[in-house]
Amino acid sequence: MKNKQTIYLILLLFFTGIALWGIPELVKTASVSRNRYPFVYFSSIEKKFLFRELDGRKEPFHDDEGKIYTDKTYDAALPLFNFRQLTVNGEMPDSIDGIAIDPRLLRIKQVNFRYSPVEKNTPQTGLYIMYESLPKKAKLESPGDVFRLKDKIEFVDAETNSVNREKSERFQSALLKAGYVFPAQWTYGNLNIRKPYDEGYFSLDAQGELYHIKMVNGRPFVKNTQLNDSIKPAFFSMLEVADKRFYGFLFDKKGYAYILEADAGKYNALPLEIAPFDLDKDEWTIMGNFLYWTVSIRTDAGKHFYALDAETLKNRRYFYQDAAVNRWNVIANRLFPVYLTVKDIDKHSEFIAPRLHFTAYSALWANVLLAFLSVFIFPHRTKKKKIFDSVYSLVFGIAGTTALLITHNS
Amino acid sequence: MYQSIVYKEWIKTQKVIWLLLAVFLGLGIYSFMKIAEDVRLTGTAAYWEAIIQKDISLFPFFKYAPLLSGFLLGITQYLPELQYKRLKLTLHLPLNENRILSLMLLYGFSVAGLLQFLTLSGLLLGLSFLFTTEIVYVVFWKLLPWFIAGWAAYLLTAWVCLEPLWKRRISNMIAGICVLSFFFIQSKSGAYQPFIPYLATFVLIAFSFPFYSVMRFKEGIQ
Repeated sequence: MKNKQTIYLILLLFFTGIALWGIPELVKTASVSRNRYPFVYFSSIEKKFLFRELDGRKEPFHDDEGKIYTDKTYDAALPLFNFRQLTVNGEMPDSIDGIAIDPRLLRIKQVNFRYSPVEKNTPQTGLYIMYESLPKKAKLESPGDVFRLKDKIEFVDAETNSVNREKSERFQSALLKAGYVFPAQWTYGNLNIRKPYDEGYFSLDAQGELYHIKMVNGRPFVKNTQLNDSIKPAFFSMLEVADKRFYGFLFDKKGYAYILEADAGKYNALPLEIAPFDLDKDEWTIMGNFLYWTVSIRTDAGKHFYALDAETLKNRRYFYQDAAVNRWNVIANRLFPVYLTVKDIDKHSEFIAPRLHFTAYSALWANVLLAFLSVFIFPHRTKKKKIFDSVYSLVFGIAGTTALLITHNS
Repeated sequence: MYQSIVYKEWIKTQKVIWLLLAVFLGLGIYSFMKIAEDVRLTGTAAYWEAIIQKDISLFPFFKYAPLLSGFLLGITQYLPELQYKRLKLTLHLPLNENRILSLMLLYGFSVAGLLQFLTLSGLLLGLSFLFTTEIVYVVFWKLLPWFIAGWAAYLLTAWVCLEPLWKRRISNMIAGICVLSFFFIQSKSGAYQPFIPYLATFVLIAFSFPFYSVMRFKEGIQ
């Protein structure tokens, strides 16, 4: 009998767990609405943010002060974004702020970058591909081996599935000679062979020093970036920009972002003048031209827009927009004080794990109501069982009451 | 007496065990033939790169095979017990009913485990000749939740089959399907790493579920 009660409790908790996940999941599927932020780009003419609303409204174009634009005036206010259309129409200005517009300059100074926390919070294989950074042909070619970089660097030949001793030793001694201290904390680079050019990898050694590692003419190139001591690198995202001004975006542990500039054989971390952000939660988009970069940072609460000077990365204008009210959040705040997910609902991580979400204290009223109702829902019980059911409903809410209903009379 | 119970379970399940062995072996051989074909067609280096960059699945045929094996083993072992209420006879043997059920469950659990252990080891060993340790590790993490699902499916099938009430059997089935869906979430290899301890704990806990059904069966609930 004692065993039966123990197993009953285990089963009750099991059904509660399933309901804690399943019921909110169903309600969410039926109610969730997409948070559609407008498309935003900083106007180099108006010196304001221009918005194109995507919700099907009649007048979709406006600026951050509320001025309405027509299709034509909107295109004209964003010449560096709509240059193809304006060039076709013969309406492209010759210069902006006294700087002549050269199609080549437009092309090579364009920056398009996205960062999603999933890039960081994802399982890593621990294997990388070292391309030749000075290839003889225009296209990058597969080297035929992969490498691991943790306690040492080792190249594994794919054809024979064995370590290429000679190449491994060459890179190992180059790393040690440059002062690299094993084991590596992390290594980031772009493994895609279709990238326009190769700049290898940036790797953080055991002492927190950031190293640039690549292969030039078949030989190892290893260099300490000698970053300022105040920068504690947390993540690096490689970006192959056409003008090769910088290697990519460096994010530090305090949430500040930098571009890692190539500066006459040296490395310079130039900070973006924006507030620190959460690398594990916030999404980033940068659309840049030769005058301004429009930086959008999406957080749970809303979206921050920054217009940065393309040269100095100093902030020129800022705008903030609150997130639209999501139907699912409204319902969850009233019905589910706690719910369970296994896949990250915010898509911040690729890892599968049980996650408990706490919504709002207001949802506890639903639990109180169910605790009261449970006195009447389940008849033919002892006083002790009635108290247990009430308390259980109070603690676990809808999920607990559902589990009690399933296991009732059994 | 214990030996007789194990023998009884063996008689019930031997055909299915041989069938599953043949299916697993066949799927294993076919998977390696397919890998060899893909390597020939794309080139070894390109194939390695595809695994690293695109996370291609090397053993897609094994996604649901362990699940089905657990389900089939459970059905073969416990469905006959339901026919003509044979479970009543089994529980009337001069042994503690908990011990009888433990033995039956342990038998099926071990058979499913052995079958899966042999298959998983065979696949990973075969892979280690072709690919580097990290890739074998990637494949291991891809396969592990699918193989644990086989155990979970076996125990949940036993739980559903032994349940005396149809109403409860349906709710058990729905909860079982929900929990089994956790093992098949579309994700990158290795994404399950933090979840595996929870899934393994669930499997251990699920071992107790059929006991509840049998206790109620013994009390005459039907």
